[in-house]
Amino acid sequence: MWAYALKRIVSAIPTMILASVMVFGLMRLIPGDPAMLFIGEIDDPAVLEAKRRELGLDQPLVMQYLNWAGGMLRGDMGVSVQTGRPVAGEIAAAFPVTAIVVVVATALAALVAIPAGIVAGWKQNSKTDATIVSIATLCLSIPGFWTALLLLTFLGAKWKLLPTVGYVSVFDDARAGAIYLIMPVIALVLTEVAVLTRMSRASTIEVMGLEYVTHARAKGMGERRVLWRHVFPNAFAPTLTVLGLILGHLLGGVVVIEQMFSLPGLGRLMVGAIFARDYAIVQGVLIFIVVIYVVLNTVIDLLYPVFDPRVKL
Amino acid sequence: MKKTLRYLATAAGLAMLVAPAGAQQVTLAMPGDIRSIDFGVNRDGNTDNVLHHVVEALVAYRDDLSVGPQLAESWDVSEDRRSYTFTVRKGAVFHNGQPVTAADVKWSWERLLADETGFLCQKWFKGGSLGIDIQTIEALDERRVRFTLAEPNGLFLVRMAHKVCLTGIIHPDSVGPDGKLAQLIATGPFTMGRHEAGQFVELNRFTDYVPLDAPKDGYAGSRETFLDSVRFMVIADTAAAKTALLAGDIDILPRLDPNAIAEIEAAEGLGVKTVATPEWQVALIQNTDPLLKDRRIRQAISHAIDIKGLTAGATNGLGQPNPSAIAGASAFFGPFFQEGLGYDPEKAKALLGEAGYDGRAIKLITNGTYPFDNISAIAIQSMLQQVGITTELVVMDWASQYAAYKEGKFQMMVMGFSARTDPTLMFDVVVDSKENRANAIADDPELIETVKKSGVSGDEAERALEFKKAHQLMVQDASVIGLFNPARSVGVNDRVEGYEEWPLESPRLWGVRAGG
Amino acid sequence: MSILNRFLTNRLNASLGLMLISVFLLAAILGSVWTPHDPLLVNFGDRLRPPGGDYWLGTDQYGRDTFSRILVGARESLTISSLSVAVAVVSGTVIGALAGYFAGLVDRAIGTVMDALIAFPSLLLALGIVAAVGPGKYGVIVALGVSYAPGVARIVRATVMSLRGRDFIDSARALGNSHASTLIRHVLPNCIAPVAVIGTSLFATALLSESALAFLGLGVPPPNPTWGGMLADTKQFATSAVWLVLAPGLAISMTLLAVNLLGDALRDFFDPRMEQV
Repeated sequence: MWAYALKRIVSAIPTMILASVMVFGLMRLIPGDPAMLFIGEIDDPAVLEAKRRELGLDQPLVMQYLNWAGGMLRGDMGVSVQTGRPVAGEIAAAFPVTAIVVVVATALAALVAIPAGIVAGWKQNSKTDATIVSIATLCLSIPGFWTALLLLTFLGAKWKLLPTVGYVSVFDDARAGAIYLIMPVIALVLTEVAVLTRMSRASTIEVMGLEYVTHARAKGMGERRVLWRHVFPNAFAPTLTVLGLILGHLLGGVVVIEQMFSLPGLGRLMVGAIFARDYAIVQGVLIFIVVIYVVLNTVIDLLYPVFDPRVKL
Repeated sequence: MKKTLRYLATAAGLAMLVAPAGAQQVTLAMPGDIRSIDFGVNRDGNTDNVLHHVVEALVAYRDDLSVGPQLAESWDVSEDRRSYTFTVRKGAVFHNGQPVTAADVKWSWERLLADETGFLCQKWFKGGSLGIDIQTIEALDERRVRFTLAEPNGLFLVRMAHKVCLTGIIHPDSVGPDGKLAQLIATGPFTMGRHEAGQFVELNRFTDYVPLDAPKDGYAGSRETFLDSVRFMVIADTAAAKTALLAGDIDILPRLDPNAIAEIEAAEGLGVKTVATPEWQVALIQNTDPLLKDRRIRQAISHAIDIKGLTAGATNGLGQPNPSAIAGASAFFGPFFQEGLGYDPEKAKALLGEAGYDGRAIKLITNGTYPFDNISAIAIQSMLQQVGITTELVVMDWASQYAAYKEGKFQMMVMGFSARTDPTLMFDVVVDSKENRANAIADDPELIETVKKSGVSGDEAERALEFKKAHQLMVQDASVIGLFNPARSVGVNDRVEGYEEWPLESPRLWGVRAGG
Repeated sequence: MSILNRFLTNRLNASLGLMLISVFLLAAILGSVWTPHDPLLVNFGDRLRPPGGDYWLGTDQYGRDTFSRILVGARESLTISSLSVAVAVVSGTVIGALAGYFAGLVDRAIGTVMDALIAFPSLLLALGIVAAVGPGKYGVIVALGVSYAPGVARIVRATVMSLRGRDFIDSARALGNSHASTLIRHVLPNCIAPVAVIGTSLFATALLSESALAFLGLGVPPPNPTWGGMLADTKQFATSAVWLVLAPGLAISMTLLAVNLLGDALRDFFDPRMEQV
């Protein structure tokens, strides 16, 4: 197992190098000069020159890349152009915010969606199935940011039930933290529920068609037992894979939600940095996301045989 | 469900927002976090807005944008106009309790002017383009300090009061052993409190603050403070910020969108304050462009734009149409400066015919960041369409537009210039030769000459004549089309008393009280 | 016609989806030839009018007619979504087929590039490309297309891999067909089903991402309306002029619903096993 994990991570190295070149290149393609934006309205060519030199922007692109990549290899992600604070620290502060929103939303979605999907698949083509599928399809058709906007308008401004801005970490104050999470999580969870329900329904249907289920039924095993002993364990594993994909995807999708609810997460850090051409932050965050993605998918692949006895690594 | 939520919300409110009993706190929105506490070194508009509550300069702008007293209660100018002697405000103490002395002023200024500090405006005081050059700074006694310039210069105090480059006076202990600013031990009515990056900055009242004995006037005058603490809340999204104001989660929302004014005014418990500003909204036309180098086409564009209608629409009737660089608030202002080429679609069509305009699309750059730019651009596009000029709107992010502006790489663009305290400075933003700088727009040699003269002359009447001439030349050249001076509005919760807008529209939380 | 008949028979979701999507397609076509008002005309006198009277769905903050803009927006939004899906499907299919067919080193090289792309959250990749290419319809299309291509490639590759070594491929080669003709004549037809299924779901994703980009200020520039752009432009009026948010929001939701229903029906259609169980 460890050998497999190691192999996975080693094989991710070329991907990481490529991703780093891509993000570096992408940022330089975008018009706008970080030094110019740093200085703002003060019109002094000498100050601009000095700032560009300080940021290393006067060097050839290849040198700039090597300097940055070299730093990354030594564990030094550089400092933010805008605030002068270390990139690693900014990411460390922002990531938990995003992670909590995403993990809570996904966990809630999984709690609802996996049973719902299994029931729908189990009772395929029944009324229950049709209802569940319809609700899921409807949920899938509501954009998260639209939900966010309506939540802010009604729960926030009109009925004044929930705070519209602010953030408290659940680790500092569980109750207050939870309250600030309610709206962002609702906005994210609807789509997640839809995707997961459909996925778990599909894999349930697939498992139901397999011989051993038919066999178990033929032996006169009760429907409930068939479901618990044979269908659930086998339908769960593929859903888990999707869960991993979704988690990775959510890291990107959460950007708009963070913006709307003023959450100091990774997405907002990234968007703000793109607008300010804060190269170090954008590059750092992207590489961080790639690493998270690789690790997440490796972990899920490792978990796969635990849940699905048919698979051996 | 509703009940539970309300209970939860109240619980959160209690846990979060309420400071000790009876304490007065006000929360206001700001679009981005502060960059640092290093004023004048690593700053942006948000940073300035916050730090002006903590750090004071010797002098500051008044409501009418003239220079008034702040940490210096008064000053004398010598006969030869080279020496300025400032007297430190009586009773002024630093946040650590130490009295402010002339020696501290001298130390603070020498720190700012030293190369290793990285003060962005060092050149403003060390022989930059305006020629201000500080030669010596002497502490005359406990409270008097004398600045001596190489040459007399009328703009010295204007620069010293400048909002962007806060020339703050701080205690030497503010600087750590590495020579870098480690904390702010300054003289303002608030001290730095909690700062949660990306979330909020809190300021606490400095209880030993002794205000100036003069009424509150812009950034100058009394800064007597009643609030115990102030929270600047980072809210990047404008819709979210407005929702927060309506929900009562923030008390003050600066830079309210003009279209939202009616709604906020109608909302129970909220009000709007609006003030005219000397900012200048303009359409810039690149006269080196193959199509637009023809003055007739530029003039046709100018004739096609109904600046009265545009202003009424873009600012909800609150802005002041203004084709000239002279703001309504300026002492030089008069009806003469209200006249541009004039709205005349027929004339525009005639000029286009004469120039042989073939319907080629003109790219009009604007951005999604500043509502006035965007709405002006949309209105201009619609107006130009009426006379047969096709424009393609290019909505960039601000950084891209700024780069295009700085490099002069555009056909047409809508821009808003921040307030300039002197007409020469406003003309200077757009008038220069293109060899001198790439972002010069109007480069008519006679115009350049006239603007230069307007800055040098010390005689008001003579300057007024130069301004008139410059205005006429600029209108005829039609590379810079003045649109309006915007009004700025702020949404305020009724529990906040004494919060006023002023032409520089930076928040001021001294003199403000908060009810329950 | 008979395929369509077979597709629609006993599939309520297919008929419903097809009906809904036809409504929006008709709206898009109508919007290209006729709108009740000029969708771009700024009329400050009539700003923020509620629905009714002259303006069926009210006006926005510039006094532009919302209904006209929804019609024109249908064209813009549907074009952007379908073109970006086309970019993704074409490039993804080619890349995926090459990787799956040749396997080995080619597969490994392509895999590395695709992994790097897939690890970029699609919205962030789009942010970068839009900023680089410049904001505009084509920037958005390229951005979305590129970020979805790896997904298509992955599925096509898997399908092609499963065909490798099958008799009909080997015999096609043995009969002297070139790689290109084998790929086109024998391999790609087998990819149509999975690509059609992922294409529909990508269409929905593209519609959403375009709106999300607009929300962040990086979408198709105004004044040309897209539904996402309309939503982003008017989001601050959600509290006072809710129709401005509801109209484009519902248009997006209904289209998503239509596409999702169609997608489900297609999946059923192409994978009858699932239906029969």
